[in-house]
Amino acid sequence: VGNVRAVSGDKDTRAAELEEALLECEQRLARIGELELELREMSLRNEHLARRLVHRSPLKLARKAAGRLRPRNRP
Amino acid sequence: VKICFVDSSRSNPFVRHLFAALETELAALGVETEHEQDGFPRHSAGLVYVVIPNEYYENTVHELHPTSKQLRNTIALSLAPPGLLTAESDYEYGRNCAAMMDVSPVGVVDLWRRGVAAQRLTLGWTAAWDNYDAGRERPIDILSFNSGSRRRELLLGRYAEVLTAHNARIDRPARAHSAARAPDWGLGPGDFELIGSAKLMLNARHQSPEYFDWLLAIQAICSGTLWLTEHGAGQKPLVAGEHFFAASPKNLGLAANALLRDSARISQATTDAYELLRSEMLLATGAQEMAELAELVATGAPPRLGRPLHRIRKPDFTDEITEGDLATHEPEKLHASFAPTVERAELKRKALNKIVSGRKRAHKKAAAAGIDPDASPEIHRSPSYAKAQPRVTVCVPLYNHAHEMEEALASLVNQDYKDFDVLVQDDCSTDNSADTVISFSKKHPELPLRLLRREANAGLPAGRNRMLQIARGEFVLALDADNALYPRCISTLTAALDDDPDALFAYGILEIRDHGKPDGLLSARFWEPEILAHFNPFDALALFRRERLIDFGGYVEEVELFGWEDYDLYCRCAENGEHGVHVPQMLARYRRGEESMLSITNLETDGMYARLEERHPKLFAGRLP
Repeated sequence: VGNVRAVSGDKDTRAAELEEALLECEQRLARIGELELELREMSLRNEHLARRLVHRSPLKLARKAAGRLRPRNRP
Repeated sequence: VKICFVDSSRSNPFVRHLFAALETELAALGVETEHEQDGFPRHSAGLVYVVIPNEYYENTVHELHPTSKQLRNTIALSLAPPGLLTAESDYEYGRNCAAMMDVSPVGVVDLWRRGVAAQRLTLGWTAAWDNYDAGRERPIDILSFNSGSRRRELLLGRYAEVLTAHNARIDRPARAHSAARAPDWGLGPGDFELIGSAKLMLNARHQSPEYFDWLLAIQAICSGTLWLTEHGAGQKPLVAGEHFFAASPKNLGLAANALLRDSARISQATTDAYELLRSEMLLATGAQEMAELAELVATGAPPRLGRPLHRIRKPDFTDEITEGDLATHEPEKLHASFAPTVERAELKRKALNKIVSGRKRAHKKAAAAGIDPDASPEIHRSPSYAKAQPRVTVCVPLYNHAHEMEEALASLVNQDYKDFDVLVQDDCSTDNSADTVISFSKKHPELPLRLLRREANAGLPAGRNRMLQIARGEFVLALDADNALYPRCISTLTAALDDDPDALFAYGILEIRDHGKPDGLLSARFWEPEILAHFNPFDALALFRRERLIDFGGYVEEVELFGWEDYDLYCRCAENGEHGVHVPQMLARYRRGEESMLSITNLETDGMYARLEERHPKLFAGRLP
């Protein structure tokens, strides 16, 4: 901002314009952040569903019965 | 089902406040509720408890904690941002409860990740919180209304330019400054009036960067105040740029500046936000969600998830101030910070000895030359000084601050209050400090200024005491030569003293500049004398009633308390039941540098605390009047 102010004719107007533009950019950033959270929430739900499926697999039940259960879905 | 809200008598006021609102909404749904303090009532069929774990467990003794049967019928409610200690506490206790609710979707996702089937509790509009009046007068431009924290203070210090250009208040909820634990958003009902008198509420966070502070946001919206916050997540259905505004930490100040330029936009956003809240986000919805969950808990079928999804990384509770964005310049100290206390004490003893012996030598030299070493003759007086009949005298002790002095004097010329004069006492500086003052005064003859110069150095408290005696004003402002005032400083402090005739002094918030870079705030606390037994949060810069300060004994001149004469003064105030008025506005700038006398003072403080304790036994024994 300092550099632009230095070359601009009317410093106050230019500074105000830049602040305005910055505010607009920040609002876009905020909306992107919100979408990101939605995406994370969705993938988490998918992971839970997948895990439930693994939990019910016959192979796993057999392993459990044999006492050799390893949590395979954990990283 | 009957829902029993349980809290502790030591809980933050917001707990009772929130529970009361939920009880009202549940009653409207036909759900029976009750409220219990400090203990879980005996369990009976259909009874479900609701508790905020960190607020309850941290504030009650073990005997008052729920039994396992009670836990099986408890809904834990969390309002804490993930990553904070309070959120950890909520999780640790909450995971053993029948079910958990969280007011933020971010919190819900975090709890799911940890294997807790948490559900959202929608916070929103409720009649009890409605303080909306579109046409009301809003004298405060910017309001920062959070408990103090290092991160917040660093950020607010960065916005100094904007905060001092507008009518800004850096305030704290009434409870946050007096409680040992300082919550993030602990509002009591009395605080709503303040929120409602602000155009814009600026929310710099204590920690966790990714969160939306729903409770505070709703309370701002319900007061018709624009909510400007750091970026977060989980703010749906509110939309950034329409109902509230968000910005990166470093840009919050500029964003506030841009917003305040356009009052129509502020009024549009606050109206839209309020209408959205009234139509789509009602606390009644939250009450409905709670009632449904309580039903499941009572029938023994609460939702379950099982083990955590991922290996949980232990949260890192180190203070966020080290993050690159906020990294501050670490000044070269006179000592290595890990040097043993003994070494530092020795270093300090030598430095003080040097100062004392230097003073003795100067006295002898002056006496030998036939000059009174204690005399401080006038060496300059501005033309306007004689005519002035000031209400306030600004007293500036000066010792080797030629560079900074000009800035301090310029800040006095720019004051919006003109009924003051300036008294500068040069304490035998070895640089050209006095010449700087004289040449400044010649350039600004309208500033009523008198310059005295001591023949031998006597130290800062002696200088201040001498100026107290000869000051002409009813009030004296203690200004150090390396600090500077913002234009509203004197007028605001004078008005504060006028409003409180019993107060001995008034003080505002100082922005700290460490080698030119913003480094937080000083004097940002209410007058809270008990805290002085632990540390001194108040800077020397304050406006005093002159005669009462003289009667009070002025500043202590002991060399053992070198640099802490203001601390000692405040301790004396505390012991004698005197008080100061806190003005929650940024009014001055404090400079911290290598040449600052506090570099020597803070080398070792154990001895100084011991001396203070000797002088103020009542304060340190916790027996204040």
